[in-house]
Amino acid sequence: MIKRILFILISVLTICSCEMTPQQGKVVFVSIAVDYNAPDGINALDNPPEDQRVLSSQIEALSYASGEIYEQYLFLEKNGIRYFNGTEKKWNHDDILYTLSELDTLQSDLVILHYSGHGDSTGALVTDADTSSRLSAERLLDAMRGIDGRKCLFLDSCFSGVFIDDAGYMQNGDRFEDGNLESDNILNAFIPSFIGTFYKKDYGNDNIWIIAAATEEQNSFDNWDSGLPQQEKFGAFSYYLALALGYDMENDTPLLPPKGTRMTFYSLWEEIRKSMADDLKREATPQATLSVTDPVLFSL
Amino acid sequence: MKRIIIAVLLLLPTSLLADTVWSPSLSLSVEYEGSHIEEHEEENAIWSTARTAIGISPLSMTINEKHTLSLPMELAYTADSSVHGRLMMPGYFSTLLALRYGYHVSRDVEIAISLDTVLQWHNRQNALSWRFGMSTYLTWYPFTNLGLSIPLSASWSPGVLHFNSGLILVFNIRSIQ
Repeated sequence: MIKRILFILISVLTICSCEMTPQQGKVVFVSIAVDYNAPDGINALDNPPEDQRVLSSQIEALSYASGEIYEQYLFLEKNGIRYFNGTEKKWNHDDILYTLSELDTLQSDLVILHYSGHGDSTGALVTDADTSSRLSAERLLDAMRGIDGRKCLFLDSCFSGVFIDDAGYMQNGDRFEDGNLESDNILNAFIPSFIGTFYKKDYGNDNIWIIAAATEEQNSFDNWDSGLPQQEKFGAFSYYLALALGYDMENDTPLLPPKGTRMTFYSLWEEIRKSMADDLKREATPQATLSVTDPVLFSL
Repeated sequence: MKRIIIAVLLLLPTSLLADTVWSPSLSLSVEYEGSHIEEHEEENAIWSTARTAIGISPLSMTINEKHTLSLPMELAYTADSSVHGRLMMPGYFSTLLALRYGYHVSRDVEIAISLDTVLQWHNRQNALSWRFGMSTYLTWYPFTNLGLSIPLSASWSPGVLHFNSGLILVFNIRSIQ
């Protein structure tokens, strides 16, 4: 009897001491980049296709280095021709929403949505300049809420700050004058954060974290010149996003950070804020969801 | 809660007449902090982290060698939390201001309770937030000026409940009135 008990105990201890192999996670990258028939179109943008190329290659490299499955859905308009995942195809924002609705993800997967293109005066994404239909913040965020997983949106478009709900109880110190950033002293947030603790009722962010290139009253820029390598070839915000992700701009190639690096949404946000030129930050002030929780993007 | 506040208010004028000793202190603490996030309740996870703090209590008085009233302050750093389902809580700095009442059950043992207000600077998010809570302490003074305290704290910030416990080294600087 004692021998049987000992055998069972040893078996249980042996099984419990074995490390379960962690389930491989997934990174899904959905990117929409529209150049509005550059170079000849009205309101054409030169750089969205390059933004998508660089961000997709860097995110793909980071995903594989993190041991994750990688999926990408690239909606591109380049010189007026539309492509989906490199194949010529006429797509519109219904196709984008359909793709999002069909994603097969788990709660611990990561979905990154990137947009580089125009935003209209309400902040809605202008995925198609030839029609009046726009992808509003409400429609896109509804679609994102329906996806399992941690979702990060990076929006390089005018007035994109409209996508970010002011949760109220966490406050940064940004103060604006005539639409431009006048002060970002954290002490500005002392009283607003205290008041926000008590009057805001909805504290969640639906597992969605957003960085927008500008406030809901500011334009973003197709490029910016701060003297950094290759800067003129990329959207002003997307350039700093790519840098923060670790892309090697000088050699135009993906570059991995050291092994052991953990990249989170807010470590990326911190890096963007630190590296962005002050004059750009003043006129197109990046905005971010403020939450106590932080999704881990990549763990090398 | 009401009784504690009334007791504190009654003790304040009493202290002017009674045997009152100014009893400031310094403290060093290391604590475990567990956080429950309402929005992620169904994931059944507690986000765990470590908190270290230095404290000072210059406004502190001991009355009749039994009761201690003080306004302790702390500067703390809470490290990055554990990761659950790809989600973590980034580290942050905080300052604490409390209203504390302590009672010496014996010469060497004190029990105490405090109401805490905490200002949190989330440096990675670049944002401020506030937290409010209550703590209880059991302190043993093996030496006149040195105590070891075990705190138990619960605090609330919007959508998040925090629980703390750990060890505090208390150095009392006693002065005769």
